[in-house]
Amino acid sequence: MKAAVQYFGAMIATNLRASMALRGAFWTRTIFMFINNFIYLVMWWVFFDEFSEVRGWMLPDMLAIYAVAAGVFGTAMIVAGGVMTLARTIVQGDLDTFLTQPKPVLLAVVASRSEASGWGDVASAVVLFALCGYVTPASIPFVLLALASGCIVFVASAVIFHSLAFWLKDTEALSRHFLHFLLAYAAFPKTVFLGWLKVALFTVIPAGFVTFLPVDVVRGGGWKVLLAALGGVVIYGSLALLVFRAGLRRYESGNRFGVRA
Amino acid sequence: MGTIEVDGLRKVFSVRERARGLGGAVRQLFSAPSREVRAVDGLTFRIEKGERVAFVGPNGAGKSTTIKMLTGILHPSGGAARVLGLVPWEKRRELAYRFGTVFGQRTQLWYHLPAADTFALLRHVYDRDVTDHKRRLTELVEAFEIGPFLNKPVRQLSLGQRMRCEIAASLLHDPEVLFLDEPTIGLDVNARAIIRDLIRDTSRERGVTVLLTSHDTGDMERVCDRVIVINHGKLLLDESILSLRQTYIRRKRVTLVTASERVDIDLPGVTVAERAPHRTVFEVDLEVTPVDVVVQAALRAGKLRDLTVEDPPMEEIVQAIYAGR
Repeated sequence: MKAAVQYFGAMIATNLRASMALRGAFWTRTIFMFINNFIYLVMWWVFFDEFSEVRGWMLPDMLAIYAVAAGVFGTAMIVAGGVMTLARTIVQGDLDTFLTQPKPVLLAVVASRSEASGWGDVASAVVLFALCGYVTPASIPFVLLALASGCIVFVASAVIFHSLAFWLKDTEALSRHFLHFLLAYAAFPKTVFLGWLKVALFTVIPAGFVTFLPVDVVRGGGWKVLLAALGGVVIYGSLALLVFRAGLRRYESGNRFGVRA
Repeated sequence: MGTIEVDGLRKVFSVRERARGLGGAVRQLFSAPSREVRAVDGLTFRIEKGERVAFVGPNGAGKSTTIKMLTGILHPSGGAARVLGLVPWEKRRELAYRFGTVFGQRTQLWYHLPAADTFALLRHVYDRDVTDHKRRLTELVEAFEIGPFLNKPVRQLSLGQRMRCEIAASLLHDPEVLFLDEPTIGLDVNARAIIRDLIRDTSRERGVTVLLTSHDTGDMERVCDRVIVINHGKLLLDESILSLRQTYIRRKRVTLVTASERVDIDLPGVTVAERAPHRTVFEVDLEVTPVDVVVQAALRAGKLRDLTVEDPPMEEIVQAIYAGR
């Protein structure tokens, strides 16, 4: 276990060094992502200037949603950025390097890349958490656990969709669309979704586990909500492992020339 | 127990037939017939500890596919294989501690970071003790002469420098077996010579078993003692490099440097391959005229300053095997 933690730590540290190696690109992507997050939020600012609430949700709640979404996505991009290119990695045969090493392939491949834009997301999450007013020193451990659970469910669902490439080959665009859906729904108050759509958001497109439940934890939902969020981690985490392992048996490798950036 | 044992190994890929033209592309959206391609078709061989074996064949012969099955990357369609007593696709992670790989077309080095950073990460990948790791790294840095560029980003290295770092990375965890897939691809003559010497010397000094695929017959001559030739996934030949030469060499090249400007040898089966003032290269068909008869004729032909008898390039020998001659 200690060796596994040290390996994962070393992998992330190497990744961070790689993403920071090109200084200009690192700062540009970080700053633009930070600005980008606030541009979307302006719409809600204008909205709540005219209307006081949306089914019980007010501006501080929207700030909490955006903070969780940015925190979840940003952390995923920093520590598991490889998941966003997993379909391409599979189709182009780039799993070879990971398969010849004595470490869990999925862990190695998702941790093999760190996106600088994730730092912009995390920075905006910190600012948004401060602005929303829900976070107190006592609630910080809850908030961090909630963010970790949302992050793991997000990465797990990305793994599931990208792993379709084992069967359908070039599914990178499909996987990207799915993740955009997920993030688009994840940035709305959960109360605007009803009926089957709400069911879908806790199953096929698990925005419920990525942001809705973590946001409830941030708003003071307590242990029960946190446990429900962690239940999502177990379900989606196990499913991702199953799908990836099944796909790996169908892996065909390839002969493309490649570099590890 | 052999270090590598392969018995009737098979790998079949299902390949979609590509229809021609726009109409074909549209039809293919609804129904795409596929056909089976036998990349590896009943391959059997055995490699003992410390052997250096060249795995040779034309493009699509099944060399890389075989190596990928032996390293656990691919699951076979049939047959059996053991590397160091383990079934690679069942005990992939356990086995990975004991072999090293170099895929000339891919890299395990981080492109924007110095090779030193990848080496540091590899200590954690292979769970190596800090002292052992440092000792081995020092040995490899010295042997491979990579110290001067160890801390330069990999993207700034020449292909030859990168490949030296790549092979050093594959040897950091003291593997018992080294799989090399086209390790000299794209390298210039000097870089190739350095890489070949490094692989051969490392194998000799540490008893590392080497299985090397290459299109460059120089790799197999300089590094290996034995050659396995495959085509269409099937074994064509498995013998020592020495025996390969003796069996398949039906021609020799005799180069004469003479005092006279021009020299001729009028013997059956002897033809002029190259001619320049004072220098003539003859090609001798050994089935028609033995080489000693040609040498005697050369001694009589003119004042000899130098004489060289050479085998044909290994490329020709391998082509002869492919052609079934």
